[in-house]
Amino acid sequence: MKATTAKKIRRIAPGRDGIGPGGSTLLEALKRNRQLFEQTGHYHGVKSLKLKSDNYLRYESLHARLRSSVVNAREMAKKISASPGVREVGESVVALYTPEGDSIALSTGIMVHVHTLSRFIQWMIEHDYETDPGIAPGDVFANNDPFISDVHPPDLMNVAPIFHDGELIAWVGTVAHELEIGGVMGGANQSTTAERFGQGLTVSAEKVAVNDVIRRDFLVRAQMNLRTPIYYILDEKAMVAACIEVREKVLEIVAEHGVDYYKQAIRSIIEEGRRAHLERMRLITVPGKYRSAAFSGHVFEGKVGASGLSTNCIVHIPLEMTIDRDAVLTIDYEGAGSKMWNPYNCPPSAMDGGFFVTLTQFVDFDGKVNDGCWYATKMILPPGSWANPMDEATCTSSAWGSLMPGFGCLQRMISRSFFARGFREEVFLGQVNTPIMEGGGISQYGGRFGAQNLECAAEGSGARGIMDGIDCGYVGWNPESDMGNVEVWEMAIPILYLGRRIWRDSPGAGKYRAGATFSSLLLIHKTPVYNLVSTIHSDKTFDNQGMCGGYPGPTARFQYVSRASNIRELIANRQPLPHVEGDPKSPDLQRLVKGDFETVDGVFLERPLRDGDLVQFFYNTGGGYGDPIERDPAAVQVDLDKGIQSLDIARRVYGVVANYNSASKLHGVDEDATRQAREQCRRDRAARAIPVKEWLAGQRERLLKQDFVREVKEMYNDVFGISPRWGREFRDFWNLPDDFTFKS
Amino acid sequence: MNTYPKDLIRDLIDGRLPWPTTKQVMSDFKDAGRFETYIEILQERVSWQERILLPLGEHLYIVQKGKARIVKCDCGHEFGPYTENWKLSASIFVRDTDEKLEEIYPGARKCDPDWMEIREYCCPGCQTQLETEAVVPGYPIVFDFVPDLEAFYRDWLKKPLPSN
Amino acid sequence: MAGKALVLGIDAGGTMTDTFIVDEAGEFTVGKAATTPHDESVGFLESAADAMSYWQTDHKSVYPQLEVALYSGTTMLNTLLTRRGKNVGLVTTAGFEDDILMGRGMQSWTGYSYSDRIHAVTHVHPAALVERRNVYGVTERVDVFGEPIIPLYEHEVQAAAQELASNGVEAIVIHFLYSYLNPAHERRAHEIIQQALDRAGRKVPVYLGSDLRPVIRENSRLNAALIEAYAVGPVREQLHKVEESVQSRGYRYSLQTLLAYGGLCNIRYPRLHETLISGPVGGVMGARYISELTGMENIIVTDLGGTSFDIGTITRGYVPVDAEPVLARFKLNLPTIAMESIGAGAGSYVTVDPVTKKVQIGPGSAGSTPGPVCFGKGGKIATITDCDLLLGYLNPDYFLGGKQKLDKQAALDAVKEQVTSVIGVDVYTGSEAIVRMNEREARDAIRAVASARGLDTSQYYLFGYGGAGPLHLAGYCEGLDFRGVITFHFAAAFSAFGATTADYQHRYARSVPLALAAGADDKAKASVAQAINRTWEEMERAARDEMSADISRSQKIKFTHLAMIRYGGQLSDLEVVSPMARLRSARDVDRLIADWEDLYSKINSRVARYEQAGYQIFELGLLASVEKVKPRIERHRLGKSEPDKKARKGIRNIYWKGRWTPATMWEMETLKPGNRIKGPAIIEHPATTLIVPEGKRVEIDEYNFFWLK
Repeated sequence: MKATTAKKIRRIAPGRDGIGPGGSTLLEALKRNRQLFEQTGHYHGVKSLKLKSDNYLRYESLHARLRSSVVNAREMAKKISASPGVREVGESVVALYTPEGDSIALSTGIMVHVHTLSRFIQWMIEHDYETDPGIAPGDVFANNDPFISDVHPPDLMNVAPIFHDGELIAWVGTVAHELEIGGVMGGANQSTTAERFGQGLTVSAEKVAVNDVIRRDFLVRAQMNLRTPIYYILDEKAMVAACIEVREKVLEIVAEHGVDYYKQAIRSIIEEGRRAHLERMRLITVPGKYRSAAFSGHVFEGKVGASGLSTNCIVHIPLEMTIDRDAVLTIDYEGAGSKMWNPYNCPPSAMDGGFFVTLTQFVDFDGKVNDGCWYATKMILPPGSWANPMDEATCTSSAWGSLMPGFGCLQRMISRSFFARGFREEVFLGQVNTPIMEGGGISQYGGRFGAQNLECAAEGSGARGIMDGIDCGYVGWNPESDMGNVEVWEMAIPILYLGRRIWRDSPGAGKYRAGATFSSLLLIHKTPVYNLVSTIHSDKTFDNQGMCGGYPGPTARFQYVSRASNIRELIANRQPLPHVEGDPKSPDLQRLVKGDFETVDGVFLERPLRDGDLVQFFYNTGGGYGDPIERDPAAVQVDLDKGIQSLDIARRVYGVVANYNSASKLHGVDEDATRQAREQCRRDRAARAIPVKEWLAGQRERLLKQDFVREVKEMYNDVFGISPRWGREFRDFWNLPDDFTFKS
Repeated sequence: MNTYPKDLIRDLIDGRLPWPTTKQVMSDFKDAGRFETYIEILQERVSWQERILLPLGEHLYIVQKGKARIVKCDCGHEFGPYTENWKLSASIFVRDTDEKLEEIYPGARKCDPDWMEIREYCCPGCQTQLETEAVVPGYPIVFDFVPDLEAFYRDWLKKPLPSN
Repeated sequence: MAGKALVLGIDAGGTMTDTFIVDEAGEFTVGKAATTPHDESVGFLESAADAMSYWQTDHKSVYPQLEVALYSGTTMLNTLLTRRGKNVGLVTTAGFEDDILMGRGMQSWTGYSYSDRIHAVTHVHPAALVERRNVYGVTERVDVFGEPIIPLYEHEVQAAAQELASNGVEAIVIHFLYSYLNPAHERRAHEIIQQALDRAGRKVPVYLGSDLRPVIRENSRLNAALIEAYAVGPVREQLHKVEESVQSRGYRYSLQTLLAYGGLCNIRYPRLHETLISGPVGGVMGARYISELTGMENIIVTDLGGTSFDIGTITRGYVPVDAEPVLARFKLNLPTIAMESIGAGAGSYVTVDPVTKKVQIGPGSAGSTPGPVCFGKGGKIATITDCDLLLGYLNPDYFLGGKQKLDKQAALDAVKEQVTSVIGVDVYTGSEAIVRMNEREARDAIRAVASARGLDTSQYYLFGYGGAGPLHLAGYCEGLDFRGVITFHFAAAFSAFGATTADYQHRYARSVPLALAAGADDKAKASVAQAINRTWEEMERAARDEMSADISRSQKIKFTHLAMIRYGGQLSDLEVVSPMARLRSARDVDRLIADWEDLYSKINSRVARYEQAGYQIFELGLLASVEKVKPRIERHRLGKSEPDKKARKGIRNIYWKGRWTPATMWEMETLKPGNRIKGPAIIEHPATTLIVPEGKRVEIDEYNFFWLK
């Protein structure tokens, strides 16, 4: 997109060329800022933190107040919002930026956006918004265009300039995750579309408020283009209110400290953030080269409602992490597959998002994180790959589908360095995919609706290095995770929960298991049509890894559906109803209910549901840590008593022999039998395992025979094409001819 | 700067420290002396003499053996130079059929073996499961970690590294 | 003792039980004794005897005079925190048996510091209050409209009842989805279970979600019910013992306790978990009493204690309520006086992040044990109090009237070594910087509360109390614009005093499904008005029944009518006081909405208004209160501005704004109404110290309140 060539509209105070620092234009300021870093290696050329050493109190209190201004504004915004996303599960963030768009301070919330708002601001600067449409006090700009800057379209962002004597001295930005943005299906993370054009209402860096008043035409557009405009409009109001709130507070602070001091201080705060990050890396990690890989497989072919453009595919998500001598962290996605005709592509800003949400949880969690940390890290995103499509028409509506496995790799690699350094309490195999139940149709109130059910925001987490993962309380994209109340979700969506319970045997197994996740069994209620979709399911593939001998978390691959069911009849006759999965071999929904039952492989249901239909939705959880047969039998017993594990899995996976006492309703572990079972397990391993070198020889034959399904071969061929380096490594590893490819 | 008694660190890494204390340690500033204490504890636990340079996993260590730096399991089994992937010298079992996957992942939990397999790497010495790998069939074995020992000891810890 | 004893206050802490006795003149005496968990009445009696000893009187004369015996304690909270409550059984909607384990995801991080909220590896759920095996799911479902979609499967309830009658549970909670809209299933299940219990001859208390807390959000409703069943039971027994022991000594009424939203209720009150958070309540009650007395109707109260800095507000006599607070990491809809609390207490630890070299105050605090370093009771980590001492603000020989000597050298070494030398500043500059940082935090918190509640501070008086309040009052008020800044010679015991001024008060809330479309006609408004009036009437009736026990016929119940309103589709509402007790016309409805919209735009800025969305009223509330005798606060004639010579204690250097300044020292107890003291000055009381910086002065008014000007 080119900068507009419209003739200059002077909106700036006389006696200055631009609204930027010292009368410069913002573009000049931005260039200078980048130059200063390249030349000096310090943010904005700030070599010494003398502001801090000269007057410690003044400096720290300024920093503290800037931070509390954004934290408080977020709390206010949450109260205004109508969206269960923002209000019930806190899907928002507020942050303060320099004139060049570097973040100074952030609230808690979706830390994903430390740098996405930066890119948005910088995009406007680079495209000379200063001239047209002009940037004036009281303006607010909105964006959810991922190729300007965003993680994906549901994240609606607002930024507002903060002026002092005609000079722009800061930006305030805020983001809210919308539950409905008017795409081809109801909801927000459109998974059935293959290009940006089906993603829903896209706002591309537009001026949406003037003099603190939201433009009528912007609200009208939302009103006309969304199924449930109330969420969007009240969130927009909440965000503008938050921007105004922060602006007022910042101007108070500036008045108190003097604008010159403020200007120096914000530079210093960011440089400090940069140095703090490097020092922390040096304190808690080990330098070296780390590798990990994840895969996300998707099924579209032959599915009613899928875009004809979307093919089955396996997303290749290789990650190499280097921590160098100077503690600079570099992550390199070399080998990532090409951009795709599906919603799982990530614009660079989305990759920033994934990077930051990981760093802030693992390294920079002292609450003083800012873009300094971005200046202390590097990310390499191969052009043309899903991680950097270089094509604005690419669909990114479910970018998280690739981000989460991708940055799950980063969590695992950083954890490995924590382990080596001795900080085992920081080892955390956090994130995996979060399937979001979304869709639209006719609501229980009779009107049209579209919404996401964000209860997925409290899945199980991967295991920790000294204890089990978090049960039903974690998602990678928002550390302040929550599933909200059923009584609230049922207000927003025409469903009646028959159950929301822990999914038995879901945790990735290990000496320390992953957190248990849950599944929801829903009766579609008081609607003639509800088009239900899932946003992400890594159909057919695990999207995460275990560590130190633990197993990956489950795929949550199937959803269960039962249409035209006899549920009403069952109810009338007081017969048992399904609430949980039950026996995986014959699920309760199939066993107890007559109806046409299907197990849906992955992302979406092909036909709309209606009143009386049933659906069971499964959520993911992460990988385990350590060899499962080294798990404390007492811990297994507790899991049995809580219903998190079954006797069957306890025996097979953990080698724990236990029994159930129906009188006490508790389980008992047979110590001796358990010891024997575990010894036997080691003997079995010895018996069935073969030396790796031997196995490799066999695998090489398989490669030469090309004995793989189409999707696998296509993944490899695609990667060979986009990354000769990766192809070379592959062929070297298997000792294959240099021209080896797969025939399709 | 924080320091913790050796016993506390021992209980911490064994997952035996009571939660309130564990939480404090997690929330508090990190202790710069952790690595040294950690290595001491680990060294006391292994039956063999070689010096531990860096732990790689629950049972794996990079140790100094004469002039060589090799990967060694706490059972005593040796995997060879740390600059080569220890997995290549391990034993392996692959779950690449529905039956084998069902043992661990009943029903909806499992992957499609045509799309992905689980590789279990065990120590030929003690049969402990050291790592698993969930990858697409035909995928090269992943080399998880090669530390930069020189930079770590000389530049970061400011400690000499035994010569090799 | 000036007049007859009026109020006996009992504050049973984890370690010590404090007793305070107030007489008509508002004078009070405090006694202490070790808490006796097995039977609290023992510790209480000792502590009371101790208090009376200061008045050279004994219980024979005191108890019969008492108008109120008031119990507040942390036992209930400790029972909860240490998980020593009852063995509870839970009967819930089938499919939700795991809610006790899943909780709300947010309970795994709520209450954490800013950094730990982001630092996800630290997140854990609080341990459940119910054993999973004691949870019984029974099939039933009521939907969002209150319509029963799945009838109660009574045979499943029967089966559960059989087990509950025999498996030794000590309390039973019945909790179904949407029971606040339609309690029929819970009530029927109760009947069945009660029959089973009766047949088995077992006396087990049964609690219903729809009785305890009939408002939306099942997780919060469940938590409230579980806590009532789990933690309150044991305490109730204690309370009855205490009541017996005061009554056997001549006290004529029932034992009272303090509710989280202010006000007293007697210990038979069916929702005693509402007394769980009573810590900061006393202070607000005291301030409200003073506001009625003096006509200062808008007040911001600030309580600076050892561990925290608490802020509350009173606007035109009304105290806002937080409907969904977090208690012991459980989210529950327990109406609580809305207090903001930050860890800026005087006992807060002062540490330095070795990486960023940033000074960090708190989150930890030394409390009373081990206490600050200067107490010499084993505290090793520097605290704000240690800095105060170094700066000359505290008198090493007059802390608690000299009972606690302060070790200056120890404080100096600790602060220097742990903090100031690390960040490379001189120890006094550093100490002042730290103290000012803490005061700055407190000031920002006041600002935040003011903007979050839409208050204009210049219209408010600020009350500063708590042991360390007067010490930092000047600091944390600097640069803020109030109508007046006031503290008290009994600042240290202000909360205790406040508790004795509370009225009998019950609060009621009920969910209702009311909506007003944008531009609704008068007919629609009238029907909404009717529905509102009906609910208010029901609640008034309930109030009369519940409160009659505590009041004489002559006493009137005062009602405050509340409506929780939101724009159509919003998920969060805002409580507004209705300008009238009944809505007689469509115009009255407009007035109610207008009042609400005013408040809403004050708090959320005008941008956030959205009339086009229409309005929803999902909850109505009622505050029922009955006056109770209170300590008098005497009005005195103003004396001369020059204090008595004997009040003057000499000169002490204090470190202020980077230099040592000689400050005059005064004895607070000896100062009189009318006196004025110019800063720099230090006004000392055995329990507190008031710092008057240079350029400020203190004036003592006719009520003997200290105005910092």
